[in-house]
This record gives sequence, C-alpha cells and structure tokens, in this order.
Amino acid sequence: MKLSTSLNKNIEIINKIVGSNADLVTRNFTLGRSNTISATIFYFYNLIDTIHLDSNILNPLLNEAYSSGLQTGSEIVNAIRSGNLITRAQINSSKNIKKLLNGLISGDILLLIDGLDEIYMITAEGHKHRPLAEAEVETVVRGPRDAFIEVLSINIGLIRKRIHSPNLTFESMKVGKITGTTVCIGYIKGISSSELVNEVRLRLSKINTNAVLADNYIEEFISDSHYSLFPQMRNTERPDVASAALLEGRVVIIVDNSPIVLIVPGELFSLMQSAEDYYNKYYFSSLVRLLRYFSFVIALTLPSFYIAIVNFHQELIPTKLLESIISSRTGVPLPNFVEALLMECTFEILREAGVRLPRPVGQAVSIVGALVIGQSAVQASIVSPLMVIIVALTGIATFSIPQFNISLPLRILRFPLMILSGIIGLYGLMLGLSFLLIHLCSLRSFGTPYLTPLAPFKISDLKDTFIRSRFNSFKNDNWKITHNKKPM
Amino acid sequence: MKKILFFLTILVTFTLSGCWDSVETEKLGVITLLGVELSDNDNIKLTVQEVSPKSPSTGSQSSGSAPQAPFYAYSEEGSTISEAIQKISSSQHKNIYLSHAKAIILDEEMVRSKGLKPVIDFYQRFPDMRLKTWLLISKSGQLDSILTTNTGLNTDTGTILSETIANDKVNSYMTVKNLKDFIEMLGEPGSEAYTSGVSISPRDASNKIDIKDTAIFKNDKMIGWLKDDESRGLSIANDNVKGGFMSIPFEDNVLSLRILKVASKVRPIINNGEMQINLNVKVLSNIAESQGMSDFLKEDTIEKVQQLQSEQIKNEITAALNKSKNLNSDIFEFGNYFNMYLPKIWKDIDDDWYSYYPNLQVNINVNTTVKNIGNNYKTLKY
Repeated sequence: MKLSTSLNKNIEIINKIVGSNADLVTRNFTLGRSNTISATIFYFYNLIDTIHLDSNILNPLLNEAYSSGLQTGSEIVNAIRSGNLITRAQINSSKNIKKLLNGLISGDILLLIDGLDEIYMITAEGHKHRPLAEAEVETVVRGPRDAFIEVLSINIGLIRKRIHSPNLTFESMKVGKITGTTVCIGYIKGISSSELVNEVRLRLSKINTNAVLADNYIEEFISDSHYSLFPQMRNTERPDVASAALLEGRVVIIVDNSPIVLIVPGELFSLMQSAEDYYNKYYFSSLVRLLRYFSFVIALTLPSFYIAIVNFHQELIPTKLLESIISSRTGVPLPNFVEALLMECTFEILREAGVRLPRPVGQAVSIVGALVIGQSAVQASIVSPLMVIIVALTGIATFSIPQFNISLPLRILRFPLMILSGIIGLYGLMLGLSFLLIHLCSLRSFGTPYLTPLAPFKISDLKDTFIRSRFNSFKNDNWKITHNKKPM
Repeated sequence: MKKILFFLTILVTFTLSGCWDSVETEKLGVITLLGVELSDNDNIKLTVQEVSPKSPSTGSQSSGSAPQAPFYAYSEEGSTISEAIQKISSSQHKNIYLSHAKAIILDEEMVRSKGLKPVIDFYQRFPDMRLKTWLLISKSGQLDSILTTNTGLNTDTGTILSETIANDKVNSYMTVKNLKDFIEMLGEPGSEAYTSGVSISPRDASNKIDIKDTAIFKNDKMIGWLKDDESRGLSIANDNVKGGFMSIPFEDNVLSLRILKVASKVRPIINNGEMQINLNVKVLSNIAESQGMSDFLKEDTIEKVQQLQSEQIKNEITAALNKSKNLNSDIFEFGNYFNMYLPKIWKDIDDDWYSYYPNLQVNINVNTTVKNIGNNYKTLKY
C-alpha cells in the first residue's frame, strides 16, 4: 500500500491494520499558530516511555516551537524535517508501510503530518521489565551474581561492560515471521574464526518459522544433530560465563525475551564446566572437576552396573558383601531389575513434582515425602534398602553436574542402559556404552568434534578439561577454539 | 524406514536371549566350603557348607532367641561330584553357587587309597569353580566334623579357613596351596604336589580348626605327612615363606628370630659328571625375643646368631629333603629345574627320575642377615 499526502487517508491506512487495538493511542494536534497543519501521533502506550513522549516530542512540537519563533505550520514542518525540533535522539522517516508498522509494534511513535507522504518513526522504548536480578540456577559461592534478563539491549550492555575491546561485535537480525524476535550474534573479531561466525549467521538466516519465543527454539533449529540426546551448545544466564566464552573464541547468540544466551560451539567438556571453577583456587577446582566427572559416570551407569553385577556376575562381589545383599533382599517380592526400574521411575516422578511445588510447601513435602515413602517401602519389604541407596546416589550425582542440559541425556539414557544390563549383564552395559561412545565421537557442534580435546587429541587443551590448571601470566594465551595466536 | 528396521532388529536380538544366566540374588545358595570323601559303598560323598543369610536388618529383631547358625551343611553321595551336587539340589530351594568357595577339603583316606583322579578334574572343568580356592587335606576321619561343627565364631568355616591362611605373614609353617598351584605342581614334569593338612580338635566350649602339617603326594596319591620343622624346611626351599618366627638355641638359652624375607634360588649343575642341585637361601631376620642376656650390640654376637640360624635352616631343609627322599617324591621340584635349565639332560632322565632322586646331592647354602634387634638394645641386668 502506498501512503498519500492526505493525513486522513494515512490515518485510515494505519487504522485498517492496527486500529482495533485497545492499547493503541491516537493523539491529534495542530502545528503552528497560523496556517496550522494537522498532525497525529500513533503509539502503543505500554511500549513507550511517556516521559520521552511528553518532554521530547509533544513539548517541542506544541510549546517550544513557539518560543523559538516558529509561527506557521510549514515553518514547524521544515524544522521537523531538518531534524532540529524534536529532541528525541532516534528519529527516522519512512514511506514503507511495513517498516512503519514494524516500528510501531516495536515501540516507536509514529508522527503523521498532513501534506507529507512520509511518516516519522521516533524510538522511545520504555516497556516494563523486571529489574536486574541475581542468577537463580547457576549460583556461585564466590563470584559475580548478576544475570541476564529478558531485554536484549540490557543483555548486550552486561557483556560489553565486561569486555572493553573495540573488536567485540554484536550483529542483530530478526527471526520468526510473526514474532519478529531480534536475535543478536556476539563475537570478538580476530579471536573467533570467521567460518564459525558465518556458519552461525547462515543457520540463523535459514530459520523459517512463525514463532521464536525463547532460546530453545533457536537451539533446536540450528543444532547439528536433531535426534541426538546430547546438547550441542551451552546455555547460560550469567554474563561472566558468556564473556569467558567469547574470549575463548566462541560465538554468543542472544535472543530477545529470553534471559538465557546460547554459546556456540558446545563440546562435551565445556558442558561439564561451571563458572565457579575459575573463581576458586586451581587445586580445589581440579578436585571438584574430577568429582564431577565421577558423578557423570555414576549418574549414567550406577543402576545398570548394580543390576548387571547382582543378577549375572555375582562372582565379582566379595563374599561378605554378597551375604549382605542376600540378607537385604530376602522377602522382597520383586526381581532386581523390576525393582530398579520402579524406584528410578518413582524418583523421576518425585523430581518433576518437586520442580513445580510452590516454594513454601516444596521443601517440607519433598523431604518428608521421600523419607516417609522410602522408609515405609523398605519396612514393608517392597524394595530392598540397597536399592534405595543406589537410586538416591544416582539422583544426587545428576544434581552435582552444574549444567542442567547435560544432565538430561544422563537421566534418559539410564533407562536403556538398565534394560540392556538387565537382559545380558555387563556385556549389555558395555554394548550400550560403546554405542554411546561411538555416537559421541561422531557428533559435531558447528564443526567442532564433540569430544575435543580428547577425540582429536590436543594435549595443550587438556589442561582445562579434567583439571583446571593454574592461571599463568607468562605464557601467551592460545585462544582455545580457533588457536589464533594474536587478536586482530 | 531403514533406520526403523535396524533398531527393531537390534531390539529383537536383545529380547531373544531373554535374561539368560540371570539369577536373582536371594536364590543363591552361596557355598564357601566343599568337602569330598569316600562313602561306605565306594562312592564320592560331597559335603557342602552354605552360608545362611543373616536376618534382614530392618525386620523386627527376635529378642532372646538363640543366635542363628552361621551355615548349613548338606551332604550327598554319588558316583561323581556333579551327581552329588544334583542330589543336593533336590532338597535345596536355592541354587548351589560354587563361585565363592573359599576352600576344598579332601579326606586323607580317599586321597591315599583312590588318589586325586576322582575329584581333581571337576575343579578344573566346572566353570563356576575358581582356581584360587585353597586345597586342604583333612586328617583321617575328621572331615565330617570339620564341615559340620559350629566353631562358635559366628562365621562359616570357609571364611575362617581362608582368613587363617591369610595369617601366613606370621606363620612360617603354612604350606597351603591353591588349586592353580597344586594342579601346576601335579602336572609339571619332575615335580610332585603337596598342600597343608587341616584338623579339628575341641577347645573349651568350641572347636579349634588347625592348619598344620603338609601332605605329600606322589603322582596322584598321597603318601605321607611332613611335620612342623620339615614343613618349614620345604617352604623355605621352595621360596614360600612370608614371615614367621624361628627359635634357635643360643648360649644355653632360646632365641627367637622373626623371618622377614626369604629368597631361595635353585640351580641344577653338573659337577664331575654328577647331577647336583645348588640351593642358595638368603634370609633376612630380626631378633624378636631373647630368653638370655646376650648383648646384641656386639658384632660377633650377631654373627654367631646368623651362623646358628643358617645352620638350623639348613638342618630343617635337610630333614625335609631326607623325608622326601625316603618317600621318593620330588616335592622340591628339582626335576622341574633340570627341565628348565638343563633340558637336554632332563630328556634322558625324564622317565626314571626316581632312580636318580634318592641319591641326588643337594648343596645347601644358607646366608642369614640379622637386620634389626628390636626395641630393646640393652639387656636387662639383674
């Protein structure tokens, strides 16, 4: 559709599309004391900051114009056109209806002037958002606590605050046909490899969908492997984690309306890291990391290992332990494997319920419920106490992995491994683990193999995987993902 | 479509095998001790000792009741060991599970009369048996009581035996062999097998199970016992001593030395056309106990002690050697050493080794070093 020079016609065009909205405000006024020209502004009142509207747009147009000597409407219009009257910083004009409406629904104020066939878009963003808050999921004992919120511009600011390099670049694009969500790619020029950045840009531009509501939408669309259970990118709500990733040569994807940013590429060993590893001394962090990898193994294989050994390979158990197991299992009606499955399913139900419990009730119910259920079940000889211990240990091990997205495949894969080891013992467990290992070796995340630095073996990077080696100020940092020697 | 078929095939393959070899733990009857003897009508009588499960800890404790027996013993006879197991299983609600057997006790009479042939193959061939189980020979007539008597120690006898055998760090008389070593000694050319004996005797209100003496075999039949000092001599010569105490008479008193390390080397040589064995023993010991008032800080006292100990060890080895020559059984594996180091000569004498064995000259050379004299360096003067 084309704009006309008649104000009423333009108002009609705009009203046809957005006129039925209850939150659209139309303000008519006239410019000039003599030879007045009519004008109208359109805006959505909950998207703009009324202070800017009142003092930087309406005030100059209706008040200060006269005090600076502009009397007629056309003088005022000329002043507007030269950009000298409206004191709001961002002002554009356009004849494109689509662009104008996009601006209107993004929080711009549209200024229509009779006699002009172009409309002014004045940015005055002022929608409400929650204040900057502490990180809720990735908490640290010692370290910064600020977290991203749902506003893209504030998130970019949080990262820029930490990296004072002119090479830090944020490119933005809009994704989602109806939602029109702004997505930003952040990287440090010269540290990130340009192939990586190009690949991210390409994949984001190929997204063809109506809605992008949160970062997971983006993650699922641009992942290398759509059926793999393992996440191929890291997500975080902490700006310090995002900054550290940028310094390693990774690319950060910030999605508007989501307090989580995606970090690309995400190989397995970066998914096992926690921010706090770098905020405590190296020896402590190294030990905690080793413990974390041990928990990874336990969370994945402990129930299956137990089932395999106790059902098939009892000769591997020391005799005294075997006697204890036999005496703890006397009277239990269920076979080992069924009991394990039952307990694991119950634990998953408890965990999911615990996520949604309201906070005042949650703690008490979970503790009492677990204790009461566990204790009664053992006393009624429905489950053996050893099984309760194993299930509890497995659950605790999944919790001790700092990032949530890598503990999800462990929770899922536990069950097929249990089934395999219940059918053919340790051999089944080994088969399952081999299958898993082969899958992990073949997985890539934006071109980086998933098991770097173990799979393409790089000794120089190993100092940050299983242990955290000391910060060393005498050596040159080798940017991790790209292995560039010097920034641009 | 192909992927679905692939996964379905895998799924079907896994379910086809259907929990093969899966045994629920509570169905296991864990056997820790096996005893084999001859029954009255010349069949093999197998007695097994099964650990009884402890009462579940969360169940109500039965107050004031008698403590539960730590094991159950079952015995059946059959023409073979497997047949006996089959007969036992007809009265058992649990699966007989042999993989945790700690020791196998063979009756002396059976081993003397019928030899090892009826029993030894089972332990090698049956997949459940471990080759690390200890093999013991029970003094005649005592097998039944060893396997059925409650020692009052609230554990099953198999565990007691295996833990007693683990005391060999303080006992130099132990000559127990596990199945693997025993069968090796049986099968190797130029060596005969031996293992410890076990006996039971009453002590206060309970019973005492002793591991002592050594049973010597020739081919597959047992031919005799070696007593204490001879057992030790055999152990030292075969490099099997891990500790223990040795008492020697010293300056009209008795001195006890603790053996720390024994290293013995056997080498066959040809000396003036005659086959001889060089047996070099190096012993490291500490002074453990002195019943006299000798001053061990003096060099020549220590030298005398060393010399006396070497002599005693040499006597013990000689005693064992003489007994083995009398019984004509090469338990020192000298023939095997000839096979290892002088194989050409061994080829000639292999068939009638026992015509040479009684006259074999063994040059025994013992070298003792006293390393430590303990906490006391000054003797009490009273």
